[in-house]
Amino acid sequence: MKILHRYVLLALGVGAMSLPVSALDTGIDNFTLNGRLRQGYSVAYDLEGQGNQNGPASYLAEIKSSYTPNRNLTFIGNFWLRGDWSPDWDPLDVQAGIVDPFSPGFSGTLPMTLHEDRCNPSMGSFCSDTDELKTLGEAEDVIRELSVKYRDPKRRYTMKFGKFQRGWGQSDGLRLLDVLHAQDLRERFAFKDSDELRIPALMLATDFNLKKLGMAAPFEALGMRRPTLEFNFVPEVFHSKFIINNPTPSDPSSGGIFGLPFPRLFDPKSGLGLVGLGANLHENTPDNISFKDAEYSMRLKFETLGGEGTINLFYGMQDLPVVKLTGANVVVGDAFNNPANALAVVPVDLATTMAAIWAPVGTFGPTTGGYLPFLRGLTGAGPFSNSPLAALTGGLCFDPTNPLPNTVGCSVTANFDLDYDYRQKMVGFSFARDLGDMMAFGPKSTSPTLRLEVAYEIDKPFNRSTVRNPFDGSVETGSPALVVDPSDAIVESDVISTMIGFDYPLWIPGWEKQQKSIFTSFQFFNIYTKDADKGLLSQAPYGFTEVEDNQQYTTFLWNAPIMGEALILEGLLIKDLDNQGYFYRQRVDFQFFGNSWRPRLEWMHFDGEPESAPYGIFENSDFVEFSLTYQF
Amino acid sequence: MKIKLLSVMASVVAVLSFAPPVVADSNQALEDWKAFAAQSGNPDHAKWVAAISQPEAIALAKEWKALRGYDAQDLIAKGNIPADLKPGLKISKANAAQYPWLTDYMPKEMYDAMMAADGWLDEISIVPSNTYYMHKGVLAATKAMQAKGVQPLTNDKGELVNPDGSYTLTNGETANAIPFLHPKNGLELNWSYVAHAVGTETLFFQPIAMNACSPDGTLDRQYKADLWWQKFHGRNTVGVKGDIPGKERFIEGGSIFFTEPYDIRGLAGVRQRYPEADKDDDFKVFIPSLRRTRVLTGSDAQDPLASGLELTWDDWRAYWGKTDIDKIEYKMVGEGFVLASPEVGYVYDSAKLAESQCKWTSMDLEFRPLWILEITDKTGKYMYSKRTSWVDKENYYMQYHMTYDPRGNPLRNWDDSRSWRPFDGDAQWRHVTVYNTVNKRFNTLFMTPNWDDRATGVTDEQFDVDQLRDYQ
Repeated sequence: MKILHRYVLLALGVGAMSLPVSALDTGIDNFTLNGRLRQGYSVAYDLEGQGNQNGPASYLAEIKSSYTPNRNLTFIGNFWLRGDWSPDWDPLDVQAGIVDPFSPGFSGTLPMTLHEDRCNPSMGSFCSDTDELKTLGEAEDVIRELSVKYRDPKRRYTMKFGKFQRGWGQSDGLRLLDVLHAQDLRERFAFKDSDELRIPALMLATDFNLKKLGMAAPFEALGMRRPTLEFNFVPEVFHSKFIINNPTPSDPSSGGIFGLPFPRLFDPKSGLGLVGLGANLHENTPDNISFKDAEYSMRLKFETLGGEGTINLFYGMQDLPVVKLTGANVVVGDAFNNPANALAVVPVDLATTMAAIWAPVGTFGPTTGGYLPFLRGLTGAGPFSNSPLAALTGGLCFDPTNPLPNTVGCSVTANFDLDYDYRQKMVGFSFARDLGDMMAFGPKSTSPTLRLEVAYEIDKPFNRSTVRNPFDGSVETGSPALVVDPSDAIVESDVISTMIGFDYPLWIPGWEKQQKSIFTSFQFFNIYTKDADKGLLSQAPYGFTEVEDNQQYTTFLWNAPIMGEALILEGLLIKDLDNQGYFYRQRVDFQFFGNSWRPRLEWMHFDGEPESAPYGIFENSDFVEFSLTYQF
Repeated sequence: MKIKLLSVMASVVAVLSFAPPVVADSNQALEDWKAFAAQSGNPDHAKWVAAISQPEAIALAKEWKALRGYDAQDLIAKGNIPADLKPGLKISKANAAQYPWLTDYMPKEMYDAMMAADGWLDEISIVPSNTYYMHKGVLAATKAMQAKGVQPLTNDKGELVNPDGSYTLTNGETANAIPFLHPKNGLELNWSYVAHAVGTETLFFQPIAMNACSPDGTLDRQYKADLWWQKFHGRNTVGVKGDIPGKERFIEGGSIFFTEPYDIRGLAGVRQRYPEADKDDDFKVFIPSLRRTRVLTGSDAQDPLASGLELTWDDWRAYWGKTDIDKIEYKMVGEGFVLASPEVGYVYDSAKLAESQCKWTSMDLEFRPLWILEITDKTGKYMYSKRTSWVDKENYYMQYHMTYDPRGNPLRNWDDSRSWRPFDGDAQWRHVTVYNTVNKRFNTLFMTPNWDDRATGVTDEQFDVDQLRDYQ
């Protein structure tokens, strides 16, 4: 079916490109129909151990129409089909598979290939086809907007209902107040244009002109001129979509070079990798459409202090998960977590899993403890322990570190919930004004614009990076911190995020033929997390860096149209000041070919410490892409 | 272009030779057009005659002539006009040499375009001069202002104020009036131009099509947008009467919503002007790729609206720069005549575009009396070192406009044909020519005015970018 989708897409493409007109002429008054077709090809470069390979080859077909039968009603339909051809091409290997039992200190990982053809888990070769990315063809992926907007004839209020998106706040690159919608992170993580990231939701948005409703006086008394109130009710709740490059044979998945890497499983106390451990991931989500889990948000917009301010309230659901251990499956008969090769798969409940992992030596026999004491005994970080797997299976399973005759390989696949079912509670404000009355400088005496944004999130859930050993109370860090009882793994903390930014139209001194200003935008972010010093993971289990008290980022965006604005250069730098990571994106748009054809070169480069979210995570995701868009 | 100054007015010269005597329920322009239409046999010309023959049109022309004290024909009659400059005359590169006076009246950029081998203009046709006037609202407001003895003046900041200190263009009693019917200097002329605004209380292009050609004469980009403009005070002809609620602090606003091409569809901008000289415009754009509103500074108005367009926010209506005597000098440097596109767009297109859409194959021009306004940048930091505007003596709007780059070289011109309704004097636009003499890019704007839905369809929604973003 998905192949059919793509052939239909090709046919549509050829058909649309034969059209001689800019937009389709429908012949119907107040009815518009536009669209675009896009195909990209990229080279992923400097891949660890693989050099340069085929990168994403994304395609897109989009059509948008609007109909305004009268001045009070507007209908909009916007549909798109996206996907990636590259999973059908040469496979990529990613380095973060499950722990290699044959590597010294279990410090290595087995390779994972993003293609089914190279899959042989029983030989230690793991894979997952990047199937999900081939066609993003679910209804919720395809409908970009389907809405009707009603305007009160006296323009006192408007109501918009349907599936669509709205953006809040003043920040670019990082989200502070722009939380009305979850994000689709599957294709380029968060490094696309924000309107292509937000997941449209079924919602009702209303805007009230308080002046026209005769309710502005109290606000005006406070210096808030022309107040308008926006209220959004979103019964359809999505969480952000991402794909994990999970090698575990019972739950394989792959998102290509922008898939989140399988975490490196490591016990800091023993210094060993968590050999024999895989992960099944299950999502625990809010009700998809309900009043109980619906999102409510409100924004008061007004003019003040020579600029425009907003006060924002958001009562929604978390977009990103916390990780909770719910139990495990013992895969008897396969050392690589593959149930297909197993003699039996034995589910184990949370309490038993906890004991099997943490129980001290002596629990399962005089010299046998849980999994972590066993690992620690191997390096002298604790008393010696026999393999708990062997003990718990009556000697059926061998010790993965020391295989014995007449035993079989076994492995354990931990079951985790990616839990999104937490409320997101936020208040905030934003402010923007041009500073023309205060300063002007440069060759054309241009002025900057100030942007401010503050978001205060109450009780944001985090996975702890530091937990107490459930048996002896000692401090535990690293991957073991994830395999504790959820009641000990999750902590809630307040987060205050602040952005101050300046936009400035830059005219270069001495460049007499400069036709258009270079748009420059600088932003500084500070994200303060209360009690961060108690150990919080930035995004378990993929971002294993700890949250800083004050996490700081800077961004710089520039956009320079040159050559009669036919060549447009745009650069975006995001720098993580605490983890020394950065992201740079360079776009070159060629607008030499009329209205319909839009070629683009795009380069993305990531640099950061491994497992440092978000830039280190994608250190192996650098690519250069050429894309061609036909629009009509 | 050399413009013949009227420093020494010649004695009355014979009016165009075939003009019959004017009768009581007519005017000279009408009579000239009747004769011309009969001669040309062009149905468009006949339709135009019908439009200016309507009793309402004749009455309005008469009232405005009485108010101003003249009409165009009076001034032309006093000019030393070449005898062979007659309606029906067609001039092209082939015969231009026969008319040595042509360079005195035809804007240089247009003349050069016609004479060049690959220029953007093939031929011009002379049509009779019209008499133009503004709509009834301006007439009434100007008369009322005079009746009350209110004469606006410019204060030490160069702002236009009433004797009571209020800003003339936000004061409901004076906002719709022409402050200086007989401007004595450049600043007064500038303010009358600003008061003309867009010649209507509510403007609505649905759509405006913008074509940008490459220097080689091929069509490069095409944009479509819906565009609005509104005067916020002293309204009495279209839609809301009096003041627009919530716009107390602004004079006027202009806004745009791009519908094509697809990659900028949804780009929306709203610019609203404060009366204070030192207060930057309220200027916001909605950027669809961010789904977010951005606050711009007044200086962003120097950027083209979209890639490849020779149209900046400050070039709307030819000149929408902020009046500020600290930064700009306004000089009336002379009076004269120019050949300019007639404002007949309500009835017919006065120019014919080639199939390539990158040159005019023919263009009607009429003879117009005007003041010459020089608007000179004093800071050295503006995109134009100078603007020269040939401001029509009948309707206070420019008939031709030229800008100069920071080194003083000619940059962009502007010639337009309004969509002007003779029966009520209301005006929008039909087409505009903008040519950049430096990069040789030729732009045309084609406007389709929406007359019928303005009263109810243009509301504060179009002047609030956060509402405008959902326009389509």
